[in-house]
Amino acid sequence: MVGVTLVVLLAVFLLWRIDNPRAERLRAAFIDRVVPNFEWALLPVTRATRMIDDFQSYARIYEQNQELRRELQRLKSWREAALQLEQENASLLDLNKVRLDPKLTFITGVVLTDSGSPFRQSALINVGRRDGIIDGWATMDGLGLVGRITGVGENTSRVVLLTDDNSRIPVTIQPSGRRAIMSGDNTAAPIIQFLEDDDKIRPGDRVFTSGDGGVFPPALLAGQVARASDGRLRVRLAADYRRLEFLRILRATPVETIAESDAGVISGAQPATDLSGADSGADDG
Amino acid sequence: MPTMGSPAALHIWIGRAAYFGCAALLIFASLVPMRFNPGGVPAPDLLLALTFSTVLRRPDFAPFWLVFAIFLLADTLSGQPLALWTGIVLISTEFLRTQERRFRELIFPFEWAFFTAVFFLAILANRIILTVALVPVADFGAQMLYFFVTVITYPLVVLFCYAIIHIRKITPGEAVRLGHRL
Repeated sequence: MVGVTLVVLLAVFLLWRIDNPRAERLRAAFIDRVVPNFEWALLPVTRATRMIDDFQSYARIYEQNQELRRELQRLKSWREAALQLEQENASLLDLNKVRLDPKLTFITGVVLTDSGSPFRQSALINVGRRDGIIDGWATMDGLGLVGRITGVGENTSRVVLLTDDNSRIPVTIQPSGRRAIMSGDNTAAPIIQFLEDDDKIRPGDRVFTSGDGGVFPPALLAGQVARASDGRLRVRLAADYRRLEFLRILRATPVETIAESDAGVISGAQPATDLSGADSGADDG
Repeated sequence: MPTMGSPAALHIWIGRAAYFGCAALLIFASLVPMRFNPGGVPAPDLLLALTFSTVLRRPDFAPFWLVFAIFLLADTLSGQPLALWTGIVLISTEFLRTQERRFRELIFPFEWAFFTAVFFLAILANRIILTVALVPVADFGAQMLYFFVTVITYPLVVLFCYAIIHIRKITPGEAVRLGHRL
């Protein structure tokens, strides 16, 4: 019996290796059946653990208060600047008759589980095919990019986080506009790779998705450049990875594919140029 | 084997339930979404430590099919390569099972050293097979850290087995009562 089981396990492993997409679909289907049954237990336990976490932070409540007051002062001046810029921006957009991409709406999901393994960084969320989720969509928390949908079940889907070993995202670093790849390596801060010359990059520069290759929509904030102790450039992520609770899944079809298919089907190329114009405008900004 | 319904059989089933309950709790706990910030010290592999310590004490509490079911479930729910780690763990536990009688009389440090060796070989086998199959493997340093953390926690797991869920080494008297070979 032991021998037979081991042979079966070996066969399953080979199947997983050879026909990976099918095996992962089977796994997603299985997780989809099992995990939602434990939602009643998972959610309270998660809440309770977070409460303990919060309670620990009461210990330094005074310092935190001082810190927040200072930050509030700083942000008030920023808010004033932002309001003025917003008005200016709105009037400029109006003058230029810019159409914003209407496809960028989002669905919000709750995080159910993490990957369950110290060497994988992913999260399971409670929205799936039923809600129209498609493989490859970008997910964000309120502020920054969190990851990419890989594996969609009927009621759940898996988000591979930017910190995972397999995560590779094309990015633009502003203000220099350099292109690079942000690749996860199982640490809190992904590495910036394939940068042509890093003399124009300063720690604190902001990292956005570039939209190259149609992986993600352009100009989503990922984080800030930081120089690690080993001298490599890394990204300090903008999303709050310590508490991922609600995730936004951007319902975005890559702009380039729309432009191509439109040009092929409809003879008038008007919508395609419109979209690519909006795209490059967002890239420059 | 003791017959069905006898106190000894009941004892075995209670032991199995204790092992299974703890394993299920560990799998559940590993899924609670709390550790999205990687880096730092990884969590120890308590499921493996619990299984090895149970097999080295009471092999009948962790029979082959139960270990198989638990590890396959854990493999599937976490994003690991399907079935590989399950297979390696099963080979390890079957080997430990043959060694159980030897460790009845020995003091704990021997068992600890033995656990360390088997766990290391298991991780090594996993890495080699994944490399041969051209699957990207985790960083070696991170995996070694995880290995050391698990080895250090092993005595605590054994203590937990001994004191809380009463999975203890078989004494000669018990062995006779349960119909084991001495």
